Amino acid sequence: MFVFLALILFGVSALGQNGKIVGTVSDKDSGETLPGANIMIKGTNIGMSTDINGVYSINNAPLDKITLVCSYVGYLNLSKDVTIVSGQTLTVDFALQEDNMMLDEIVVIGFGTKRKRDITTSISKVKAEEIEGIPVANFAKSLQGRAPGVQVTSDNGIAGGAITMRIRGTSSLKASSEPLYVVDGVPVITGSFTTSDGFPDKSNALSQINPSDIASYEILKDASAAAVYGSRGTNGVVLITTKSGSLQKGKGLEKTNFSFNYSAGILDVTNRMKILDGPQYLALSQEAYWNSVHTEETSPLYKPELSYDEAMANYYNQLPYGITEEIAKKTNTNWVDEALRQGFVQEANLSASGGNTKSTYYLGGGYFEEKGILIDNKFKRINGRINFTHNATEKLSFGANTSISYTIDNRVPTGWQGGLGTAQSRSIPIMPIYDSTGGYYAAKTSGHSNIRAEINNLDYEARILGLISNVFGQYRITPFLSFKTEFGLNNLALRESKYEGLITQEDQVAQDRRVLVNNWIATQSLNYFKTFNGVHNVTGLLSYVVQESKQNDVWFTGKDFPSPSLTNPNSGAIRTAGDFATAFGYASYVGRFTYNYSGKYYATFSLRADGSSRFGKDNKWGYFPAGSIGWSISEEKFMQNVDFLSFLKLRISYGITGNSEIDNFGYYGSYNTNEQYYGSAGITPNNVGNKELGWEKTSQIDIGIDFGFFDGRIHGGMDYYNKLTSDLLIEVNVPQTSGFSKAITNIGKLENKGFEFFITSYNLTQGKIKWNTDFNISYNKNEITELPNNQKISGISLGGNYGNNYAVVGYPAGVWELVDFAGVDPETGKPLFINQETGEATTEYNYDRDAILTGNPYPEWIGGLNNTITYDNFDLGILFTWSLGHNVYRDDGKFLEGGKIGENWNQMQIIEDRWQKPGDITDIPKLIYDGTYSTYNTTQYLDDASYVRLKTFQLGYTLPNKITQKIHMTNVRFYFNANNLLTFTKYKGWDPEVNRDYGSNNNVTQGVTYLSPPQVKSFTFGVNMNF
Amino acid sequence: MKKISYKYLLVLLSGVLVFVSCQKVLDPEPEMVLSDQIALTTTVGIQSAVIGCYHKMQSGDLYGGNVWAGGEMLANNVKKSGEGNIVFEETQLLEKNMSDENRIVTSLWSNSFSLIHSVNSIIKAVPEVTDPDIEKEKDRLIGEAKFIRGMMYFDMIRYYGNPNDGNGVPLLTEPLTIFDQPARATTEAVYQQVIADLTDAANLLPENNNDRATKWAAKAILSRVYFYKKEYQNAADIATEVINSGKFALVDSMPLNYAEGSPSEEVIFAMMSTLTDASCGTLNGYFRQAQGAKFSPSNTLAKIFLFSGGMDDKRYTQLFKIVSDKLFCAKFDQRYMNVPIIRLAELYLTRGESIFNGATVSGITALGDINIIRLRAGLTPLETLNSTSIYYERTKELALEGDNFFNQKRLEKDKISDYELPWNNRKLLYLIPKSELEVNPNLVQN
Repeated sequence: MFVFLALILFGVSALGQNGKIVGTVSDKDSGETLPGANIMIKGTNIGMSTDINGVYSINNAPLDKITLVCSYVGYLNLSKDVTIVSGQTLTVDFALQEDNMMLDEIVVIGFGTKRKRDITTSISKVKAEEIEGIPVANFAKSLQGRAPGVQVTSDNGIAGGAITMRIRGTSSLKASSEPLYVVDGVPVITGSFTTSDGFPDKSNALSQINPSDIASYEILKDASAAAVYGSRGTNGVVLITTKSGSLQKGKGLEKTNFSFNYSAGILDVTNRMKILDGPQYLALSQEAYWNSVHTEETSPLYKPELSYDEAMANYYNQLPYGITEEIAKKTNTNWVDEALRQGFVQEANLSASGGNTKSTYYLGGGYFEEKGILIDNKFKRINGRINFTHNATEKLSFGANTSISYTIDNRVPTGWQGGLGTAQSRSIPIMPIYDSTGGYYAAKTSGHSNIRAEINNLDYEARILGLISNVFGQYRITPFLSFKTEFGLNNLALRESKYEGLITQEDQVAQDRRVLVNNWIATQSLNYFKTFNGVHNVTGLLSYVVQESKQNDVWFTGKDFPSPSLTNPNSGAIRTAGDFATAFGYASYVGRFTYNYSGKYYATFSLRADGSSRFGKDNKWGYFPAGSIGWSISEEKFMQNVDFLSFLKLRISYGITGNSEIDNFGYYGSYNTNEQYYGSAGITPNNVGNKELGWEKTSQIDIGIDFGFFDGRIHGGMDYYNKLTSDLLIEVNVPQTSGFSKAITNIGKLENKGFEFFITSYNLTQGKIKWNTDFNISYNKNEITELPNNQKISGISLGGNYGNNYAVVGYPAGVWELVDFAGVDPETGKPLFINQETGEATTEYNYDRDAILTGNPYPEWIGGLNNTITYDNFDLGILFTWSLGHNVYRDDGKFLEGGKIGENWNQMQIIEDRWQKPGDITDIPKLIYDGTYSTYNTTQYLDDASYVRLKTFQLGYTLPNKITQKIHMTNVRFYFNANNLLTFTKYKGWDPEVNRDYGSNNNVTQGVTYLSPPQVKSFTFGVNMNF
Repeated sequence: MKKISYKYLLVLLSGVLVFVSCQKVLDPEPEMVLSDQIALTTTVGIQSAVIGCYHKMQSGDLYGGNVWAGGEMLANNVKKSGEGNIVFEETQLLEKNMSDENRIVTSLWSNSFSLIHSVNSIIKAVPEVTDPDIEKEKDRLIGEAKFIRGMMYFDMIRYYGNPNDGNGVPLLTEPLTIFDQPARATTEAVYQQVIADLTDAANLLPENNNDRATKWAAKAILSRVYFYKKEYQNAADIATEVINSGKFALVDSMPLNYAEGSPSEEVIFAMMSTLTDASCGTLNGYFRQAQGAKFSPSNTLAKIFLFSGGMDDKRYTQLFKIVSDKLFCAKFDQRYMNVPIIRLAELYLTRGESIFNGATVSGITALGDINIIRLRAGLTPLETLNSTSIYYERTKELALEGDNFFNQKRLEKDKISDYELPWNNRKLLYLIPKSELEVNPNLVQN
């Protein structure tokens, strides 16, 4: 842009007689003058830009009939024909119409950029300003509900916690379904590198990136858009462009733009699941005990001859952890309060950006701190970024985008491993926190259920240094051909320390763990673009990309220390160490050719050849072609008279992409090393090997329409897609007589079909109140269409965790297999299940006979509705998001709704509605002290997890210009932001947006909670200042 | 112009450098694992693979746990202690309703065959090793491999062998591929292989082998095999060889048999532990009171102690303990203990009972052997023997060491466990894993 401007500014005067033109350029709707707009005489290089008051004057206009073209970023061009008469000063004013559709906006498409109007693939763009002020460590969380077809799930509310993103559904069962994230051309490290030992819920390396450095997100969804990423494109690609400097128009050429923002606020859980307090627990567990003693003939406790008092004496005798009748009666510990707190979040960012005609820069520094809602959980990040470009000559330019971040992540045990997970389950409210001596009650003998002791006993810290850098140089060989070389680095260095003291265990244990991830990528590209005869626009791209990534871990553990004050592993009497290493590499060729005829007819063809170290020796290279065509119908002559329609484009794309997020050495037949015995090193067979192992393959067709009505005041688009994935990586069972249980092969198919729709409407654009609405909704249906031997594959064997999810042909990935719960027998109080052979309700629980496939862990409908209203200096943004048509299986439900009341687990308050006497109609069976119910996997715990959420509410106030100028600022805005403010759902647990901890991937183990931490809502105040 | 083309060259050059490194990027060698193409081609590789077999054996799924504990659960010699958390797989064993997906059941199958595959690969690879070191190691390595295969197959047919139709398990002496679908061999055929393997092992193995399998370990297990096969003369003869070897002796302090460090004089073969690599973790979890033992000895077992010796029996006073009114077994209380697989005491019991059943060993009587064990336990010698007193002695001496369930089956008792099932009842058999039946149509379920 600025190059263009420079050309105008230094344009030479025409010879001969001249005329003068003056005028003002303003916004057609608001009447505000526009500084920095360009006015050019068509066909010449004579022109001028408007000054700070929006006024221009051209002194050297030729005496002729001329066409003046006025242009301004974000507005539609406006032309006016005038005749210049010598000696006369002509006044020509322009009132520009805002370009609501931003058709000339530049969109990043992977290995290049395009104008929005020329795009023939499915790409969603989210601009940073749309999601500013949301206090999250991981940018992905703020993308929720902003783009059609993009499902973002925050797995839980842990500070620094993990996210799950699905673009157009889950395309894999065993490989990752997370999109590829590319920051300024560098595919970045994602996922969790911190230990899962003791900390089941994961972290995510994306939290290394400061969201406020980001300018835009472009999400590549269809095959034609993503196929330039070849074997890494199936899951979609999120292209992240960081901020760059720009020349500040109308304010002098080299002004530095400073921006500062600070926000701070509190965090709390979105919802509290209600569990029993001390007296409730005591009463109900006594009732359960009495029922077992008195009426349960099959119970080991059954002794009908006992009186109630005798039974209660026995009850008190069998209480765990030395809890006596006296203690039980007087204790009422709220363990959840002992694990939760009100969190605090604050964030400060300072940046400077600017540039001149030769160089531009952006310099940013940020601090983010989240004291999580779980006690001891804290995430901090400090980062710095410098983005710089320089035009050395007209032909040679170079630059770098570099960010270094340092995070400190204090994770805490969660879920089944402790903390809040234990507080809501194995910590019973009749157990005191402290014993009579002031020490922790039963700290060593209560099986880690005294979480105060547990929390105090553990220290954990992960320190991570992260680097993302891309250095590039570009040389224009001819006006039509340029060469670009890029070198990117993405490194993580992690140091993790964990110390467990003597409060809850016999020995101290300390662990030090280091992880180093080194990742580099080099890209060489030739770019060609030329217009022939003014109508044939041709571009070509040829790239060669090499990437290598290595990971090395070492850990060192010490146990049994000479003094309680020592915490370094080397002091331990028993020391163990270990290491881990892995690596992968890619070498790829990318070609892309595009053609458009006069902005009416478009065609694109691309091909990527990917070689990867992950593929078997006999299957080293994969080829990924894609193409798309587009037709801008509104550009046709016959459409020119249709006034209400300002834009209409039809586009169709088809292509093949791959998913190579498979094991780095999955193809490699191998022996495990370090299989020691009695101090000697041993080896054991590890992997059977498969030389033909390859990527998972997806072919996708996409048909889309982009439209705009009433000068783009209403515009939007819709897409239909059908994604067929084959060659799914499945571990098939093999006869174990081979020494192996499983062998990995490319077999199996699934599909995702759906549509997306989005619309933006500028409801009010004139006057004091302005109001616009963005709405998007998408539907996706996932179905597994082929598995080897039609076998049913459990989520656990696909890298997930418990939760009864399966992969079954004819069903969506993650369907549950559960016995159909049919309420409680009003006569006996026993739970009833549907016998699938007779169709009748029975009290017999027979999983093999009666389990049915039911539910869907992935939402069918997702979307967002955002309204932005400005009045005077106030602005208000309200975003609703929704996720409809999916379930969450509360795998802890069978324990928390009566199942483990006899096994020292606290219970949900809903068990107060239990069956008590014949005739009672309820869904909670008669309480018994045996753990019978705890083995029942039934639909009773499968909740409809649809929800609508008031996701973001932001109210801002911008200081009036008068005041701003007085304090030498350009813009000052104060705002209040509330996130996850309200949730509407029928879900019975903490929060319907949840994903339990999982193993290596969660494609099939989805929509399951097992004591998983809830989501947070936040209330923050902040200020933005530009000066 | 010159200046610019120079810069242009520099920019290009960086790209060219990367072209060169492409091949290396596509072929990284994994650092954590060893290629199966080279693993067994050297003597060191074979040695490591043998160690790898012991590593598998020491796991909780095999000799570090469930090969022992599975039988004790089936016999209801243990009950839920109320301390540790019992998982449903264990409950199924206790209640005799194991499914074909029960992890304890399926993991014995998968781990046994994984071990047997390793052993067969070793036996096959040894003749192809060319480095000279193999000559002096060959006998020992093959001996260890055969020892392991023999012992593992013996324990497999004890769990899977169906006495009603004679079906054993697939009998493999060569490594199979994932495309092979072997059928079950008869129990008898498997027994013959077990005997052949252990006999070979006894011939090939040295007398000392760094606390791994020895000649005497092979003979001791062989004696056990003959005893269970009811070939009592063979059982007695081989037991005599081991007893007379002079290598082993009964220890006065019985907890020494379950200790950390070097194995006691009485232990013939054990799964060894170190401070960083314990073989006993699973057994600790089942029995060790200090970490919330899952199991207590059952009343049936406790009664046998109390009715035949009571508090005079050191095996009760030293190896069991009562904490807060609950009885616990203390044999597995050491956190880095070696897990004894066979001890000299068993050989006296085996020989004594074999003689009682008709075998003859010159100068040795059944009563004499049984009384050796009684005396060591602090009890008075018996004057006469009957089958019940022999049964009690063996039950008490080897309590919770994985013997009693199979001993009851050997004796063809018609009421085994709390569920009083006859010895050959199908519910007492491990099932072939469902997943295995699905991929191998030649297998028939128990």
